[in-house]
Amino acid sequence: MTSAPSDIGAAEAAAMDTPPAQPARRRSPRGAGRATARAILLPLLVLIIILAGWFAVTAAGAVSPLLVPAPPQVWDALVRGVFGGLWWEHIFTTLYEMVAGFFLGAIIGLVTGALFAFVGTLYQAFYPFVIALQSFPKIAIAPLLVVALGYGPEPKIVVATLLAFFPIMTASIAGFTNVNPDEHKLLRSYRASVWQELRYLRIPNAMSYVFPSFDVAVVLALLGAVAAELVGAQSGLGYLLIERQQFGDSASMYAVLILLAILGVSLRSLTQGLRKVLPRSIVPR
Amino acid sequence: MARGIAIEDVSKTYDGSRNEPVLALTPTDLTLRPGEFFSLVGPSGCGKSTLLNMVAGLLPPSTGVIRIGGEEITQPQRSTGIVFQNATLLRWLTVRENILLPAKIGGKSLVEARRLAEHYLDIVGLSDAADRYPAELSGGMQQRASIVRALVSDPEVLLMDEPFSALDEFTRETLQDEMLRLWTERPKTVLFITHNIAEAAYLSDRVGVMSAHPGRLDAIVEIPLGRPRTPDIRSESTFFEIVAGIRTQIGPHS
Repeated sequence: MTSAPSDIGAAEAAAMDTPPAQPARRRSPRGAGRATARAILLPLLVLIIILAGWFAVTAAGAVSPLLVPAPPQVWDALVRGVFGGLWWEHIFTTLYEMVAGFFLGAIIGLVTGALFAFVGTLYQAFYPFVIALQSFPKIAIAPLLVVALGYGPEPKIVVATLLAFFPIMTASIAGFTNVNPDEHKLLRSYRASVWQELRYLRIPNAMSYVFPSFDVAVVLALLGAVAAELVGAQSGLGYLLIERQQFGDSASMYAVLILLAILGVSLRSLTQGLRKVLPRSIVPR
Repeated sequence: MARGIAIEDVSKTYDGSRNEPVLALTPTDLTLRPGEFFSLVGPSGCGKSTLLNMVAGLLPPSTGVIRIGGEEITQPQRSTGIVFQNATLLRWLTVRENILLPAKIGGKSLVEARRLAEHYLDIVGLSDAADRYPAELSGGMQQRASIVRALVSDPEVLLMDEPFSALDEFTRETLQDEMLRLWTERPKTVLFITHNIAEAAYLSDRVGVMSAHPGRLDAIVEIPLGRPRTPDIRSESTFFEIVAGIRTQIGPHS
C-alpha cells in the first residue's frame, strides 16, 4: 500500500528535475540528443499529467470509486494479481489463444493470399466473400462458436484467427502480385522456371509485404481472443474482466485493462523488433 | 567467343486494345560485327529500347528476324547478358548472391562463376562490398554490381539499356572507363543504348542514330578513334567534332 504513493512521488520528483535539464541540453551542439530527450520526456510528461489528473479526480471524490477507482487501489490489484500469482493462469490462457490464432491466421492468410494471387478463378469466385467476411463484425459469431465449441479456448482461437487472417492475406496477395516489372524481366531473361521465379523473386518479395502486416495481425488476434472470452469462458483475461465485474471489483478490472495494454504493446514491439533484427534475406527492406 | 548480331527487316507494332496500333520501330536492318561495341542514340520514343528488348528475346518482333551468331532469337538466351537502366538487384540477396544468381538459375558451374565474380568485383572495386545488401550501396556501386552480374556468365553478347543514365556525371564517366576496361579484357559484342551522344561516341566503334515518330534508324556513324581509349580523349577537339557530327545526323529536335 505504501509503495504506490512513493513511486508516484519519485516520478513527480523526476518531472520537477526536467525543467532545469532542458536549458542545459539546449546549449549542447548536438540537436539529435536534444530531440531524443524530448521524444522521451514529452510523453512521460503527458503520462504524469494523466496520473496526476486521475489522482486528483479520485481524491476529490468527484466520481464513484466503482467507476474510477483510485490509482493505489488499481496498483494493489495489479500487484496482487500478477505477483500474487492469481492471474498467471488467465494471462497464459489469453496468450495461448492469441498466439494460436495469430499463427493459424498467418498460415491461412499466407496460403489463401498466394492462391488468390496465382489462381484468377479462385480470386474471382471467392474474393467477394472474403471482402464480405471482412466487413462483417466477426466477434458477433462468438456466441455461436461457444455453443458449437464450448467454453474452452477453441472458439477464442477461431475468432482470433478470423481477425488476424485478413491483414496477412491482403499483404500476401499484394506481395505475390506486386512484383517489380524490371525484376520480373530480369528473371525472364534468365529463362527462370516458374519455381525459380517463386523461389528467387515472388516469395522473398511477398515477405517484405507480409512481415509488416504481422504488427496489425498480432493486435487483432489479442482483440479477438479477449472479445470471445467476454462471451463465455472459464479462463483468460476476458473471463477475468467479467468475473471481477460481477464482484464490483473495478480496481481489478482497471488492472486487467492495463495488463492488456502492456500485452498489446509488447506483442507489437516484438513483431516490429523481429522485423529489424531478422536479416534482409528473410525480411527484405 | 563473341558472336555477331544480325537484325533483318525487324519492326515492332504495339497494337493497343482500344487505340490505334502504334508503330514503335519501322523495318530496320542492322548488323553488328562479332566483338563490336555498337551504340544506339536517339530521343525517347525512337524505339531503341524496343530494339534491345527484341534482341534480348524478351519481346517478339512484329516482322523480320534477329540472329545472334546465325541462330534465330525466339526467347532469351543465357549467352546474352543484360544491364538495365536501374541496377535491378534483388534487395533480399547480397551483392555476391545477386551476381551469382544467373549462374544458379542457369544451372551453370558455380565454381567458374565464383572465380569470375571475384575477378570482376575486384576490377570494379566492389570486393569489400560483396557481402552487403544492395540498399547499403550507392547508385554507382549498384550499377557496377549489375554490370558484373551480366558479365559473370561470360556472355557472348552484352545488351545495355541506358545503364548509366541514372548516375551523376562523375560516376558516369568512371563507369564508362571501367566498362571499356571490362570489354577489352574479354571482347564481346555490345549493344549499348543511350541518349547521351558523347557517351556513345566515347565507348563505341559505331553509333546508330535513331529518331522518333515513328521510331527508325536514320544513320550509322563510324567512330574514328583508336583503342584503348583514355579519359583525356574527352577533351580533345577531334572528339568534339565527332560528337558534333553525330548531332547533325539527329537533326532538329522534335
